[in-house]
Amino acid sequence: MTRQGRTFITAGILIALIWQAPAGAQQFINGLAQPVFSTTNLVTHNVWIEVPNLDTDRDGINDRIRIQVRRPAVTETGVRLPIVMTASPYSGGQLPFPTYDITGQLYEPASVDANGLDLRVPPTPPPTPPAGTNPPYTGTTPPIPVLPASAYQSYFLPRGFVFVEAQNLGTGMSTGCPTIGGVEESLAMKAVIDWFNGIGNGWDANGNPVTAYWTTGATTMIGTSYDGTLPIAAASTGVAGLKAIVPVAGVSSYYDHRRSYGVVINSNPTVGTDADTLFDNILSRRFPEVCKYMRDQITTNMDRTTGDWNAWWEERDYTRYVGNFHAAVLISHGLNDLNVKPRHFFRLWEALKANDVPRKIWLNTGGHGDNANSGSRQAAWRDELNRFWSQYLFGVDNNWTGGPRAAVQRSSTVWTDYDDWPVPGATPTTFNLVPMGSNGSGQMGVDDRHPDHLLESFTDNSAIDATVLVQAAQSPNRLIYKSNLLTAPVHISGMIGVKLRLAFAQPSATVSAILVQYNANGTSTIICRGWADPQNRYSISQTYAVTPGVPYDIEFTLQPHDYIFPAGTRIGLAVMSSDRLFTLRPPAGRQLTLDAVSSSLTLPVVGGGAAFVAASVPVPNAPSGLAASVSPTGVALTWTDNADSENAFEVERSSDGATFTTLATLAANTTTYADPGAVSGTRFYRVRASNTGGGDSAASNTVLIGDLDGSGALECADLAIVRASFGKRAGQSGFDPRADLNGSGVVDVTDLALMTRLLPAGTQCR
Amino acid sequence: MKLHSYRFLLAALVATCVAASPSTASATPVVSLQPVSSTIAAGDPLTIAVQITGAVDLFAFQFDVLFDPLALSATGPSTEGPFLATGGSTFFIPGVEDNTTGAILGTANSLFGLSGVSGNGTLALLNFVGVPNASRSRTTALTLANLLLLDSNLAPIAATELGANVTVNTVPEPATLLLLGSGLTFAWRRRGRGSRAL
Repeated sequence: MTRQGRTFITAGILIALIWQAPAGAQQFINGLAQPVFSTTNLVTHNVWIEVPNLDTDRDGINDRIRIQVRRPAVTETGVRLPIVMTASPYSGGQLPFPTYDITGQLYEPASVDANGLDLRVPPTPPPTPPAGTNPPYTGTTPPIPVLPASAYQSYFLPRGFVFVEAQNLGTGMSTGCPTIGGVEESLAMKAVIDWFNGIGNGWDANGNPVTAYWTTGATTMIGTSYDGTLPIAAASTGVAGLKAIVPVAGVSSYYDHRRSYGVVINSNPTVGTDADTLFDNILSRRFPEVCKYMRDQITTNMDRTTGDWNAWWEERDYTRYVGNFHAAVLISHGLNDLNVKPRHFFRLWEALKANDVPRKIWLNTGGHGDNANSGSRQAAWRDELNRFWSQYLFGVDNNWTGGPRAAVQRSSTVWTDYDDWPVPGATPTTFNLVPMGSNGSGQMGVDDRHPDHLLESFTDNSAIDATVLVQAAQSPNRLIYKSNLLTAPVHISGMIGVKLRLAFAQPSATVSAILVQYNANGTSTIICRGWADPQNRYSISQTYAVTPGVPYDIEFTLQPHDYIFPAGTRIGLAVMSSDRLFTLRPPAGRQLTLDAVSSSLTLPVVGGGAAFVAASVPVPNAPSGLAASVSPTGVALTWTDNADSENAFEVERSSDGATFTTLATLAANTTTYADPGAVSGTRFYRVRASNTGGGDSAASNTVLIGDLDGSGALECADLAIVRASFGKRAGQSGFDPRADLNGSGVVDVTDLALMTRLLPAGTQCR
Repeated sequence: MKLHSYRFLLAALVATCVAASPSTASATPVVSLQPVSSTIAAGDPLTIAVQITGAVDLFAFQFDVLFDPLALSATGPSTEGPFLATGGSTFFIPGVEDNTTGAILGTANSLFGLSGVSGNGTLALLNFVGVPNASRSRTTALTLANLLLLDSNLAPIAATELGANVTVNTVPEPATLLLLGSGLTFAWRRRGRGSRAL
């Protein structure tokens, strides 16, 4: 048989198989639904579904959710198929998105109790109008726009899934009012799913009752952003018909979207927006004026003044309701999502774990969007969805929950599967901070705390972007602490936390912490960020006044992450006040003082501290026993080398004991240095061991030339020591080696003159 | 001419030469003890000045003075001369008297600050007393030792050192004077009697 003939026969067999497949008979291969359904002659129709006992637009009738159904024609022949639903507040069109002016002063309590607790009484939201305030509206007034098809429709509809587009309360042709994540929106979704399962009422555009005879009722919800939030909202009701959800970049708690530890934060790129302006953005229903009261209630309840958590935000924390879930969950989220930030997937994931909900998670390196459904992994993502939905909507036992639970993108083409997330072995690892006493950069590592509580101050300047502040070699507007150079990758996976002991010169300020990768070429990359209001240091739901000058421990988490710091980089922590893109922008000038030694960063290092140590160049041990002798031609320093990993020693000198400058960089194993030139005035010296990769050791003991009595200052008592030993030789009774400044073995006029030169002209000592 | 007379002339000559010379950086300063020669009675006090001539940028100095403890006794403390203090405040160490070996050890002074002084003047004043119980007149040399001058860079300054002589005469007791008078009278009488016999 010729090749042409074989091809002909094969094609014929395939055509026959498809032709002979009975209508509605789903086919599965390796647990995946196959594209056996015709997409021609789709049945498309609209239904308005009643939300029982809910009248948010106060028109005297229950709110109705408009859905648009697209289903294979075969469903008109008795075949019932499961549903893929996307619910959106956006499909009716987006209106202008107002923004708040985010400049101006920060909130400071006007009156507090003895403990500093803010006594402010929150304003009362406007009342809900009586039912029937507005004329009845059913949402069916023509024209009825056709809603665009889901990005997944062309792939999954042939595989036997009905596609439903639902419009959120108060949007498009639905009635009611948006509540920005309120329980009303959850109940609206529940009502739709219940209707799929024969519960509740639905009408067509002509007001005729209709039923969902074409579906099995098994429903999944998928969507991105707000569309990815409504699946979580629906699942939180425990609605039985919802078998699976795929929240993509979904909100798990609206507080995390708009606030962070009491800080009013921006949802990039929509800087200055808030829950109420989002309401304005999505209120696309007809006769929107009926929802004005709801907008006013949101404005009051969201409390942009204090940023505190309250009952309104609590209602919008879906993680509290995960125990109700009947739906399995497949999360997809961008690790660099600056809008719906990674904290959302983290908290939802932790709640799913706690409630043993069947789950998987895909984390991509992108920002806000459905990033898994594009690029190199798109086919795998669709297979994942297919397997997921085939199991939970068709009941195919394809062991979806078996195998790795987590897939994490590493590059545009590389994804890595893990048994769970955070990646097993990720261990909270505390990095202690080493102050530098300047606005350059200090160090951090997993070794012991630095002994000196050197306080470091910085000044807020909200006009400067954080990307500039983390990159600057010197800046008075932030503090930076860097790890040793990494010689091997360091993987972090999970939640990142900081504890910062800060004092504030003013009674209000924002605290921002930023995890940074410092690259070998001198550039920097922000990995993730976190923000906290020191007024919420005890509770996110209560404001306490900040007393200037009093140090407080401010503990908070940054956005969680899964990231591998490559070899050749350093891990950095930047501490600043305003984070221009994400926080309010008060006038510049607020001063904050950090006790770095009492502060720390906690990273979820895979393998823990040992993995970090193994992957990083060690910090050399600090030199000790620094001693100085002074002669007419200079100062001679000696010290003990305690390091075995140093590349160099750095000799530092200071005239005030606070600000040191590097005087010389010496070769490894050096233990002496001569600082040439006549010596006069106050001179402090200290020495560090340094390693190009590991950074600088802590400083040695500090020597003040001429401070013979160790008082820390040059004074007549030091001269008295010279006088008491004057003329004495080493070994002779009365010889005091401290007085022999030049180490000549005798205390003579050279020592005396060296000492008097160190003291200021005009000094009177007797 | 007696030995102490030669020394006096030499010191005067050197002092005259130094005084006549301008104070230049190349000149060698002279540190001397003044007066170069003196005679005191046992038990009398004596102050010796340590003088410098031709000093250039003098910042600090140190010296010892040696003497015969059978002739002199240092009564200390030494006091600071006015010369160095013309450059500002100073820190003066008077030294330690050792009347067993005959020395004042470790007299020193230093300016504060960064600049020295130039010219002539007194560095220090040393206080002595003639040893009262000396059995006979005694002359002692006073010499400088361990002299060290430093300029404002704390570099040593070479200098010529000149010492001094002090003679301490004994003072007769009253009984001694009586015996002496009796002796003289007896001798005069013996002389007169002898002349008559011739």
